[in-house]
Amino acid sequence: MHAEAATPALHGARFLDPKVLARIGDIEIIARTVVEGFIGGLHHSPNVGLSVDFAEHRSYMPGDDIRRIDWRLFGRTDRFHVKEFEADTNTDAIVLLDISRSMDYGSGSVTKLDYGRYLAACLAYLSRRQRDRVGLVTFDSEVRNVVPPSAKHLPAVLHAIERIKAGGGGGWGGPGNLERPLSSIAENIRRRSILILISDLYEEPERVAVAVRKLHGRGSDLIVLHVLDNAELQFPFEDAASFRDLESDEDLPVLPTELAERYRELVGNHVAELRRQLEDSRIDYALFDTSQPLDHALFEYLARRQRLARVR
Amino acid sequence: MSFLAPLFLASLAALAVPVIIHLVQRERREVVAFPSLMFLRRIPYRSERRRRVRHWLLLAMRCMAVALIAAAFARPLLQRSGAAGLSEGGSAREVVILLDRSYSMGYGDRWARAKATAGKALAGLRAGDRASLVLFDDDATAVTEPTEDVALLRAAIDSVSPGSGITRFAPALRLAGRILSESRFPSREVILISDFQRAGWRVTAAGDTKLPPGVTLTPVEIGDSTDANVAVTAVELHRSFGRGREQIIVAARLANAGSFTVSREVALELDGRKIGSRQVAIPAGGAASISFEPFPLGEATIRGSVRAEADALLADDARHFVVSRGENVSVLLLSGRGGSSRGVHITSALGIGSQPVFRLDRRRGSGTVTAADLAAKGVVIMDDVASSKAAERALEEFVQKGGGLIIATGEGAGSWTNGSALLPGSVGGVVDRPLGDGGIVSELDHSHQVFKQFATPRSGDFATARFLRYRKIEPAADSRVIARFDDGAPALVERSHGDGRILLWSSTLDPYWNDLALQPVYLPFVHEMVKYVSGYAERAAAFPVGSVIQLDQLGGGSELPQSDGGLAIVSPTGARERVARDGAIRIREPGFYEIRPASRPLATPLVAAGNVDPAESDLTVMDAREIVAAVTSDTQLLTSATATQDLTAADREKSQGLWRYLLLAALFLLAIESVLSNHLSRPRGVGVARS
Repeated sequence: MHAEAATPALHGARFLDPKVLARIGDIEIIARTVVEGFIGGLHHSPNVGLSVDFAEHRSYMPGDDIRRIDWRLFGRTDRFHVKEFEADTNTDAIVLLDISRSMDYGSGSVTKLDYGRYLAACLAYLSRRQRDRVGLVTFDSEVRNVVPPSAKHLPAVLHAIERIKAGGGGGWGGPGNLERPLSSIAENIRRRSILILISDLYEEPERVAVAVRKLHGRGSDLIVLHVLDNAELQFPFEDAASFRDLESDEDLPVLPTELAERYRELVGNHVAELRRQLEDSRIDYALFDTSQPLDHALFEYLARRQRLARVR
Repeated sequence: MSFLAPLFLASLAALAVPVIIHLVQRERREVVAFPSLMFLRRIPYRSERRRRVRHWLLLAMRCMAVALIAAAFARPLLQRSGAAGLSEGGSAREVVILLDRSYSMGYGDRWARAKATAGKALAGLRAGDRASLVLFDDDATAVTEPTEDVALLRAAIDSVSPGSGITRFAPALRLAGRILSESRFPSREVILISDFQRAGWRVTAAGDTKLPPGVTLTPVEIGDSTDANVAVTAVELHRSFGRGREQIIVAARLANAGSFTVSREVALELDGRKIGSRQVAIPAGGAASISFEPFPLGEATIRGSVRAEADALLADDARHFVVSRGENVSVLLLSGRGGSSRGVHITSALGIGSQPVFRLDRRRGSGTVTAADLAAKGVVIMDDVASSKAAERALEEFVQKGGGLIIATGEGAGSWTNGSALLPGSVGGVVDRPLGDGGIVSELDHSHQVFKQFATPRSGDFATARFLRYRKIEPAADSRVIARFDDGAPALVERSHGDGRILLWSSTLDPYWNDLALQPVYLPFVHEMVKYVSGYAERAAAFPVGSVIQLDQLGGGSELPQSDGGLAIVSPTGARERVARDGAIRIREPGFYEIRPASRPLATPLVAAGNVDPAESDLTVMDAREIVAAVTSDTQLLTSATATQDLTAADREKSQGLWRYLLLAALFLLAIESVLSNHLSRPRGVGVARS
């Protein structure tokens, strides 16, 4: 779960390139393709199937679903018993996807927003496979769309992800504004959940930490997936140009050759500081380069899910 | 200053062009979208904010040049005041000065300023020019013929003062049009000097008020920004009878046209003596009503005034009235045989009312009357009584001399002699209408005085009365049917005989054959019938200035002793006038007019009160250009509306020639700008990321 983890972390778990995924229009197919391939490569990992594992029997109580009565046991004992599974105690998995205008950037064929959408879809699909209740929140400077977590909401989540238009959201509107939507989200999450924040986090690390701690502070587990384009990390520009801020539309004349090195240094410091701040707050953080496959994100999620299951 | 082509001013939006060029020219590089400049901004020495103006002077010069060019294309026009404009011009002119002398011109110093403006207009006349002076309020009068004699015109202006009339522009403009249409001068002008009250101009008046082609109309506004004015707009007199005496309660309404609530003392004066006062607060743009303590009426006519504290406009601060004892109408009621209730309803109806007071003499059971019975009577009501030849003769003589007769038919009315000159028609048999339903009076002649007050909606419904019986009437040729039943049968028929009037009602006036007496319309109906046949006319308490009245409207003149030589009239300001006894008396000013026989100067006069029209108290000003647009033709509108006085093409061009100078100034500025910008744009050492 480091930025460098974009390099193969699991043997045989290299999946479709985002550029290939971009040609597949249907977000559900993308999610299924990635997740099924990913799980296939895990070689029956014990991380998978937790939610359908049998846990125990208990006596039938009026009001229990009679479909869950174990008839075999009834035949043997002449008493009604109900089967209980781990799945019954599953958690909410909510993807928080940043759709601000800065996410609508891509130096290649895939923008950060596309990448974020794939990630969100795959994680939702995977969560549902794990019998989690899945939900989705999209936001920029405000919360734009909410699909509440539910076992039946996977189609709604995938549909909502499908409908996200590139650049459809506004910007954050300036420093400090990440806090507002995240505070709003935190106030509306009632139960302990796994929250997956997908954003490019153009905000001072201290402010990011303050904002995401509010999500974390309610007992939820938080995974921050920091999505950046390769051009944002490497700054490969050479010609003098006027750079326009996608968030604020402000222009700035820039000589890239003169400042690329300093830029990379600043971005590196930013990422390092983000990681430090978040890990200090016991929040999982991972950086994603949109030119890399999606497997790392899925692995990150499952590792977190496994840890959570153990706690229960 | 105004503009001939103001639409070109929209091109001032082009001012944005130099600014944009100024900013845009400095950065022509490719624009690269980038998610965030968060990190790039932290490297300040390699970047430069683009939106910064470097050469303010250059920018100002470019903007100024664009503004000058836009202004030049809009064709600025130097505007001169109407009076000053007259001092210029080329050829001889015919000028008509219309001077508003309505009473609102007496507000503050308006009249002095109006006269000064007219004087300036005269000063602008040159040798060969002609002018005439027209004074107007609701009427227009040419004080002078068109003349070149400026001294004569000046004297005429000095001699006049504001009148008591209200502003009406249309008659004045029509008169000016007539004067100018007879003129052969090539340049013809009208100078309209007024406070331009909105009330003085009706759009409908514009239709037939057009100045001849080629005439220029120049409005000169004398009004000022203030419109504070309190006026007594109405006085009402309510009669009452207390302790056997007739009393009058005076109520007045005051209006405040100003923008602030004002408090005024309002006094009631009777025969020149102040007998009471009230303090009243009048809200801004609103009105207030007050009433004074009642005062008793004596034999003599009383002259009264309600007077508010004086303000800038004196003419509307008082309203005058004349009040005298209510008149009596003497009525003889003859009721037919029947129960004790016979005639009760008529008696009750005529027992009510003070204007006039009905003095009723009632007899029951017989229709027999003699000339002695009819002496000093104004009206006789024959309520279902049989008639006799002797009675008919006495009544005929009575009506001939001006008496009034109302005949209500019924069971006993069959004995009237058909074909008599007295009856408006022959009285036939009884018509029975089906029980439970009955007939109704469905057709009324609302133009007739008896039914006039029922003409407006919800003013009385005769259809609620049910008629079970009535007599068939065949109207005489010289009679007039003024009401009919729903089957077309005449209900009320009128006929004049000699100086008197007769009304024939085909049913009863008691609830024997109908239930009319139980309906709300009964009382006013009976009153109106009696007033009509008696020839009663209510005496007006006051007349508006400008109205023309006759002696009849002052109570018929019966109070004045008969004499030869007509009438001598003394106006409130002491002006004397003689008119024939049946001639018209014109109310020209507010106050009390005294009217006496010309040959009896010491006789007690008949008094008429005059009041100014309160409409003139509203000092709301209109846009004078509205009049200009309405009365001048389209081709004149452009020059007239902008109030230019210049007559010749050369003159006109002179006042519009400012555009040349503006263009020259713009060119000059652009030349300097070129030199300066060349100087400033010479290559220097420029930073790596600078534009």
